[in-house]
Amino acid sequence: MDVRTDRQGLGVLERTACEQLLDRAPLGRLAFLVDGRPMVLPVNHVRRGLLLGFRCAPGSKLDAARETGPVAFEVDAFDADERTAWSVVATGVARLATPIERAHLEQVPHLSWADAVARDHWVVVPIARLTGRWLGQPPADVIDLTATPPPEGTP
Amino acid sequence: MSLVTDRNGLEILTLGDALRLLESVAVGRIGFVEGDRVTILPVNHFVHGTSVLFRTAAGAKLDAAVVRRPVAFEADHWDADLRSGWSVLVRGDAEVVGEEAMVALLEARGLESWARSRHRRGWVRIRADEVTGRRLHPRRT
Repeated sequence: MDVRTDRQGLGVLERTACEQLLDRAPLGRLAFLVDGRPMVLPVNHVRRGLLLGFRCAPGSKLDAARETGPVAFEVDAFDADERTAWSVVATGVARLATPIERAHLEQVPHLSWADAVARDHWVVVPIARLTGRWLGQPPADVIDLTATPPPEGTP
Repeated sequence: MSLVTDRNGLEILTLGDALRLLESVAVGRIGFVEGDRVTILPVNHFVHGTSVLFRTAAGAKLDAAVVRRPVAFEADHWDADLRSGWSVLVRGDAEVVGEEAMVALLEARGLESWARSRHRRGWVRIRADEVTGRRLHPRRT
């Protein structure tokens, strides 16, 4: 089977692979608007189905993301020496979690690394669009790479 | 020496440290507005003064979306075992840099390999209005 590529020649990751890579990453970067200008912050995340969740302190920048609408969340890995890289981007609109969503998200084991402050809020992003790309080599150990043959030379 | 920390307990990096760390990694992410959406893409970058430069693919939607528009650029490095690391954020307007000016700049910096690569064209510079950085130290156990 041929490797699926986009028009820039990057490998395309299937949805299941994107979900796996999202779940495996301990943190990602959230892009959102503050007064109409983009902002990007690293943040620990949790995924449950089509819902991304972020724990944050009330009044924090992340908490403000839900006021301003569209966001994009990205996880990636790269090896500069090997010239390999992959990235997965989920987009949607941020809002405050409902009590049911909050209960669901809290069942997923997770850690907030910066825990000096109480993080009582859950900001959620229902995933409207999930895309992934790779360069050089596809990410190792993802289950669904049906669009990708094994690299040459592997048994 | 006591460190200056923010409300999350993260060390606030000095401008010098932030720029040095930004330069120590090859890949960062650019966040920008595209129509009514926000998006984020990883790019190879380098730092020149307080500007961040990166290449875009020919005809990429990125060029049109970011030129003379405010963007955010983020780079970071983390140790998942120690749950520690740093991140640097650059915010400012993006602009296209001409090929000749870029080649001169790259050669002056000994970065000819960037200039020689043929399959990616177009350079974008972010002139920083704001450079901020944070460091999360390993927890003392």
